[in-house]
Amino acid sequence: MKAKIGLLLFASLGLTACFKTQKQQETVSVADQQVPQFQQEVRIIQPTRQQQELLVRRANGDYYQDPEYGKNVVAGINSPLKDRVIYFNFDSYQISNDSQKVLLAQANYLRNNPSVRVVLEGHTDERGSRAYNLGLGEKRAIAVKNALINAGVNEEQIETLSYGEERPAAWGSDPDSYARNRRVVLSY
Amino acid sequence: MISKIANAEIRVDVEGGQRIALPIAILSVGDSSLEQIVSNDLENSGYFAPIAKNRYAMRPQNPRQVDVDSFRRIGASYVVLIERINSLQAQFSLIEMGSGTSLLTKTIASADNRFLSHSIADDIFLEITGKQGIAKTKIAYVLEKFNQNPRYSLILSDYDGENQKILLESNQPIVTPVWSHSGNEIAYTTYQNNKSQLVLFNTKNRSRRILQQSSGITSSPAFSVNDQQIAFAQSGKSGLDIYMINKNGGNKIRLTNNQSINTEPFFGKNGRYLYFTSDINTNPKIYQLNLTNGQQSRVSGLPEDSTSSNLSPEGNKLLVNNKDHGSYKIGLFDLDTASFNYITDGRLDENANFAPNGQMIIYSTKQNNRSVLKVINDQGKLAFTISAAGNLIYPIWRPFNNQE
Repeated sequence: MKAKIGLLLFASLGLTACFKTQKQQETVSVADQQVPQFQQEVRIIQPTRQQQELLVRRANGDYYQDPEYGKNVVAGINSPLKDRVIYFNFDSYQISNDSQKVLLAQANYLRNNPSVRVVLEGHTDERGSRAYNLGLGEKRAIAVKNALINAGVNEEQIETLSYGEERPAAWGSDPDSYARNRRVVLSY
Repeated sequence: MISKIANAEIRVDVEGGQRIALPIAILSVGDSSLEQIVSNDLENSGYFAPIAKNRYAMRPQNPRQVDVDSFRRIGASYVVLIERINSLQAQFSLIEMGSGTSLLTKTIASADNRFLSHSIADDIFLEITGKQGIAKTKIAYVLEKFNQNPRYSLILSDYDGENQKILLESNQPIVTPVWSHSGNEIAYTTYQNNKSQLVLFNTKNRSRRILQQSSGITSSPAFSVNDQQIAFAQSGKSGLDIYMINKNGGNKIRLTNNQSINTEPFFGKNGRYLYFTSDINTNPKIYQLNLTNGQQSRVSGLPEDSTSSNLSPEGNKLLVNNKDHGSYKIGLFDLDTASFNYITDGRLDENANFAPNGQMIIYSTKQNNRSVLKVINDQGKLAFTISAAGNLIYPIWRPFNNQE
């Protein structure tokens, strides 16, 4: 589910560029036939000027500058990926103020649903040794766990799991990919 | 006796830090595939420079036909003549051009061409350098494939990447594998049902046993010198600590106790020291713990930001992963002299491992957005690259004790 959302986002961005080229050649309908599985998403995501600016900002590495970040926090199985992710700085396990909105909303959901359990998956970017990154991912997960407990969540509801750099969200070796990969995902 | 004379005449000299590779002519009668593999093995070692075939003035059919003057003229120090006897056997002769004498003649039997060739290469390497060669050894590594779903395989192959066999496959990451000193077992970490598992895998009978299971992470296993204990890193309430446990699962001891990331343990040669990485003082650094008296100290002489070490088979050198001006490179650290130098120059080099004779090093790096394995000799010269349709990570070189 998580992977699918990430994939659709990437696919749609890729297709936007693709469509531009196709339009110049006036073969839009051909492209539609070639990629029927993405038609729906392409229609939904016509990037506005604002969104394009956002992409540029993301490319600079700061995911929290996304104006939508934390605005649509709905915890639970069907919640969108971006609202269940806490991002971190390089080699850091400090929780930044930017993530407070998401953290508090998740804490609120967990407090109101004491039977719900969450796994905090800690991830890192690819820099640094793989074994050390398994440690860093776990430190990030522990930091989020402590923040949730401080916000009144019962410790019994929370588990941690570290994937280090082994399960990246983005595949590039660039600042944008790295920023997306330094994260803790709240997995319900 | 002959071997001693040969050793006395070794011209494996180190001049200004660079070894001069010995020119060697490798010829075969009846099966040129053997010749090619032997030639690659000898060249990979960094000790030999095989002479291009088109420079040979003659093609002798047996050792007596080798005209020493003719091979001296093209600069050959040695001539190897491999004769295929039948589908199972080959005989080779190693002739020294300086003295014109035959140093070694041997018949080797194997139905496997690659094994037969690697055996010839190791025999020649031993005869001339006095050191055990690694052409017959195996490596293991993880292949990470991303199609619709990620797929992770633990693969065993010849040291040169050929002859691959899949040992394990999983849809969960296979991380931090390590060989036992016996070469019969691999310990590694994987995931199941939102738990991290430390697994002991027997490569002979392919049996698996879960040694530890936890939330968070249990990773980076290392076998003790006698293979009877395993050190590993496990997370608790506030960080990762180093533990040690008997191979049968009993007697778990906690060796560090702080709020930091303590990981990548490995035992020193005599088993008295346990080395590990810790970020207890901000940047990750390598520490040593005296297992007899519990004293812990930083390994001095290493740059800041050092992680991920591997001990040389002799026990006197460490391969270290270092951050240098934003790049991650492999460094070689001498424990006796505390001297340090970089031996790779990539951007994302990691997981370096010594060959069991200490003469070659394998590591993982990124090339065209994909992880590949590179093998270099101890002079830092690239021998070859292994790549696949996916990421190749966590290379580990099998110890000598067990050969297939």
